[in-house]
Amino acid sequence: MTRRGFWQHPASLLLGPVVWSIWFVVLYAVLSLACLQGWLVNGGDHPAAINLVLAGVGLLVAMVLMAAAWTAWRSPAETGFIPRTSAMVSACSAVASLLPAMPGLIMAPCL
Amino acid sequence: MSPAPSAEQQTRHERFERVWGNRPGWGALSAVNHTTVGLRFLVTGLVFFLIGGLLAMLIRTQLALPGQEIIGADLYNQLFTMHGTVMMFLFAIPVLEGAAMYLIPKMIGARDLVFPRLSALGYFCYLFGGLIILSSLFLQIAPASGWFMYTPLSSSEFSPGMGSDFWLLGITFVEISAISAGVELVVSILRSRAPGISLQRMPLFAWYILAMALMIIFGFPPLILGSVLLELERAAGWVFFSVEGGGDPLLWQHLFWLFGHPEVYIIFLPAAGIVSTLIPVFAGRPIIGYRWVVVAIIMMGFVSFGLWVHHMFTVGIPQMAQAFFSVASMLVAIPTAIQIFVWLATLWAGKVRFHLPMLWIMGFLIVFVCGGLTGVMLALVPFNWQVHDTHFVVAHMHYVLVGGMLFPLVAGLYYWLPHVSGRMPSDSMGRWGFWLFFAGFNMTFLLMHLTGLLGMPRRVYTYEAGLGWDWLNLLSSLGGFVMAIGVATVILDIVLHFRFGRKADPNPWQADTLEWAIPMPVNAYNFASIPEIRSRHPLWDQPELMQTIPAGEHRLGMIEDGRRDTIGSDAISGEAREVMHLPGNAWEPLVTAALLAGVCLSLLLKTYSLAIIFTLLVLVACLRWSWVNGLHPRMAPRDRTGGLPLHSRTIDGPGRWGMIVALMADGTLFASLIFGWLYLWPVAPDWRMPEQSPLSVWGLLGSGLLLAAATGLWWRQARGAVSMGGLLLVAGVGLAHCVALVVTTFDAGLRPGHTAHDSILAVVLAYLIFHSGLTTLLTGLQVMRVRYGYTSRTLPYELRVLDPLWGYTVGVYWISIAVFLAMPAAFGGGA
Amino acid sequence: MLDPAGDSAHSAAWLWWGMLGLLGTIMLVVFILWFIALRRAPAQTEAAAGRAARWWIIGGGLVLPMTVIVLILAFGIPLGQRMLPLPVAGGEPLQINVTARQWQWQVSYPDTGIRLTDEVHIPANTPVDLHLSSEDVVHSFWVPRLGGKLDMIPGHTNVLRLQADEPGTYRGQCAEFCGTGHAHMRFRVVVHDQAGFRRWRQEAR
Repeated sequence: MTRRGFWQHPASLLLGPVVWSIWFVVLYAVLSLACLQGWLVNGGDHPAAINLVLAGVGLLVAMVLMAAAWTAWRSPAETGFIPRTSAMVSACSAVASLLPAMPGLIMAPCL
Repeated sequence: MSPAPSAEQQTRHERFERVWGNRPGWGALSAVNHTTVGLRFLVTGLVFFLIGGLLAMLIRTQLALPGQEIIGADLYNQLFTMHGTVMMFLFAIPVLEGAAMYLIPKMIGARDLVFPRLSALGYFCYLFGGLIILSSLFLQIAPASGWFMYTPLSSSEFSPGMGSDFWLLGITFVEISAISAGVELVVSILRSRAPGISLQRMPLFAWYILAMALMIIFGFPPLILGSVLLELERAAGWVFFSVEGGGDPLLWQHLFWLFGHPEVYIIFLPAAGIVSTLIPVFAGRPIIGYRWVVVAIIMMGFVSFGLWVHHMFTVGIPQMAQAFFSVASMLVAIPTAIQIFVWLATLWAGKVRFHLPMLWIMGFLIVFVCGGLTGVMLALVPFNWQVHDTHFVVAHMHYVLVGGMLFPLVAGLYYWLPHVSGRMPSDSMGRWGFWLFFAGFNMTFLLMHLTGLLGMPRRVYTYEAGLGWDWLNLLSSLGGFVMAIGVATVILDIVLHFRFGRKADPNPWQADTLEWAIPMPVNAYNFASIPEIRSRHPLWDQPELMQTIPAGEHRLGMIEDGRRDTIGSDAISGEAREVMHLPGNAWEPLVTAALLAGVCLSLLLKTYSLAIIFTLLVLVACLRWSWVNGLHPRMAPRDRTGGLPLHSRTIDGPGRWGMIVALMADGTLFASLIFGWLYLWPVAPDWRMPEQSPLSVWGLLGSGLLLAAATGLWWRQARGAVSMGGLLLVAGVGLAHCVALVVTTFDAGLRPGHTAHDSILAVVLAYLIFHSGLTTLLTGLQVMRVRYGYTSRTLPYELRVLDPLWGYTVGVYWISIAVFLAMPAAFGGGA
Repeated sequence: MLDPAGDSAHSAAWLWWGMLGLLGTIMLVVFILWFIALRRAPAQTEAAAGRAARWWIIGGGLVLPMTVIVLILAFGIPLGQRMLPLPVAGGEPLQINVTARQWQWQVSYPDTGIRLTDEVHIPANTPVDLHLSSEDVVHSFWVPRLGGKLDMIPGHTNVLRLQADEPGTYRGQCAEFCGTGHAHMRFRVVVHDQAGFRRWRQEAR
């Protein structure tokens, strides 16, 4: 399947949400483990390094998904439905990936 | 019908009915037709709804006045547990599945679902399971630890009776029907659309149901696993949820809500699908923002799996983890808002005809928006800490579920009634029913928000006077009875309409979807011929279909060889690819479901030898079913001359799709098990990991290599080199693998009664043995079928169905070794 | 909880009224728009309808909920943060252990060794940390007028921070369904002023 072909395929509709799901699981798992094991937590009641790391990765995931949305939207297409829809879904997933990591900027990780 | 059907049309109709119709009398129990099965689901579900409603009336009677002792605490606990259980598991989900089963083939231009016998099996499992659960209420030993069955309250120490067993076994039994409906609907929607219905021309309802079915596939397995584990803990004393021995009661809550939250959306999506179908029809124009709705459906389907922790905000999870679940919970408001505004925009741009179904849609809007907004409030953690488990949540949840499910469902009932009966419902009585219900509902539940804010917790069977809750409860109870009168009016209206309703014109609401091209009242085969569709709104853009379909002018207009068939199409483009030959009336589903009920009952009565006998009988019944259901030369005597191939001559037929979708559910179950392991290991207070795994590494590796070898040999067989000897070798190596695995298991001397570690390993090993055994057995069966000539180099269909199972078996085996053997070795036992 | 008497309860009540105002307004506007949509005659071309629709969907479906979410979280998260058992400036807050079982509350004061059943005594205007656990099934500790609830789970200890404004007696109850005695599983929180609390402690010991 060519690159252009991918956005024609309905699987591309699921790209964004699948990335979001994986990211969400990773976010929850890493945070929980970090709190249990004390990785980068600094013990305090202020945002810790782990939060910044997670927020950074969240931003990265969101940017990748936005790039995907952009490519999908611009992909040449005889039938625009699936690429366009994929683009919108990816963009929504980008937002959904970014926001959950943001509370970490003002909160302590493990209380 | 306005133009009387011609004589030719009448003959065609009679011929089709002979092939597609049900048998008369008791023979109707062998019916597999989706119209029949769908209606059975609906009617049974409505009966359960009435029972659930009756329980609610008893609850409201008890709570009407403070300090009442009409119903004691114990009975009250049974009542509210059963009310929730019946409404969720026996009413909401099955009714919507039934509606989807009835409508989907008709909307996408197919004659039946692709696995008709599976739908019949699902129905009987639902019926028997429902009856088993309900019987506990009449025996006064119903489950009494809430529909959420939190451990340890539901464990054998604190619920020694049979109540929890009824729940766990009965619900698991009922869930067979949900999973089978899920598999069936996914494959049908993807693979049996009329030619020309590409994804982008699919009616929105099909998108909604596709999402719902996939959510069932991924949402139910965690609960099934949880139920099985809890039953093992109750019945066999294994350890998963009790702190002593290394379990954790919170694991149950995670598994339950991993199912429980998506479940709300499993209920909401089809109902929203009804709304999205009705609004364009009554606005007289296509929906605005079709693509936006598709985006919203996809996002909702996924995001709803990321919200489960919001039912657990008060269990003491770190605040930041709560915060991102809180954010995710609020995010789901976005796709909801998109749909609300799409509907608004469609009404705005159209000219609205205000018929009875629209009244219920308006009721839906008001109630659901209100429920959605209190949902946003509840998603906010600090507010949630105050109102969690109070009557505020009871009110919110009824606004969402009744608003988001019951109102659209009744709208849909009224809308599609003429389709079933050929008659129109009465307008005035319907309006009475609506207003009584609507007023009663709001009186009950709007006030209940305030009751909760004043501090009344949930699930109390009585309360003291003088806390400011008295008048609110009294009014809520009165409202409940008004609502009940409303329900009675609607039911009376529906019953009477079958007798007195005015005859409906063809396509009475001027709808755009294909189901209205079926002559009313509905027939057994839907379409006398299957047309090429060129539009998203076939009946608006191709109005001639109303005549040309019954006249047999399109594909498959003739019955050949007395077989049921429909068109199989490409999942994306909707181009016709094959002719699917569908099985007809059969007793296998009823027999299998009855035997499964036997398993369920004997487990309940703790007569395990009987349970083993029934399980073996189920196995025999299933193998027998797969033997006769397969495509004998007798059933598929020859290929068609020209045109499309029969699906049994293809390598990518519905069976393979069904297998893959079923394995997705299976894989989710397995993933939930891994989640349980990875959760208990760091979190459970008393978790004990032995220094060294009790399992023999060499035994497992050796057995795994045999499995890999068998899969490799299988791979060649399934891709062309079909031979009896080759398959026999595969089965032989598979058998050796099974034996090695069983020996290793018994060699390990696991003590599941002592530690959670051993309990989980035992479950994993049982899971692996089950899959390896099943795969080997089915391969053995293929050897026989090659011998009889049912499978061959030119008929590789069944091998291709079995193919994914081999890949899955070998996959879960090696993943298990990595997760349950290698990981503890790498990250430290001992602890 | 609409008549708050403690720090956390004040915040929650404040959030309630704020959200009710905001979301209630949105709800009314949506209802009004729907009723207009039902009544109005469509006098538009298809193109105009499409343009208008885009504004509906982007404005109402995306911008509106995003704004509301950000607004609610911006107020809610810091308030939630303040309810947590954060370290207090100047010493440890008073610790009280509460263990629930079917169907009573065992209260103990580790500093003085006082033991009570179904009754908690605390000083006013002082942060108190309740260490919650359970001997049997899941229970939940809730004093509606003082603050939020927290579950008591066997094998786990959760810490709930409460601070009462003024002396008085407050009603508490189990908020997680725990069996037949659930409805009657209540307790009292008696809040004393500082002097009164010292006196009570002397007498109880």
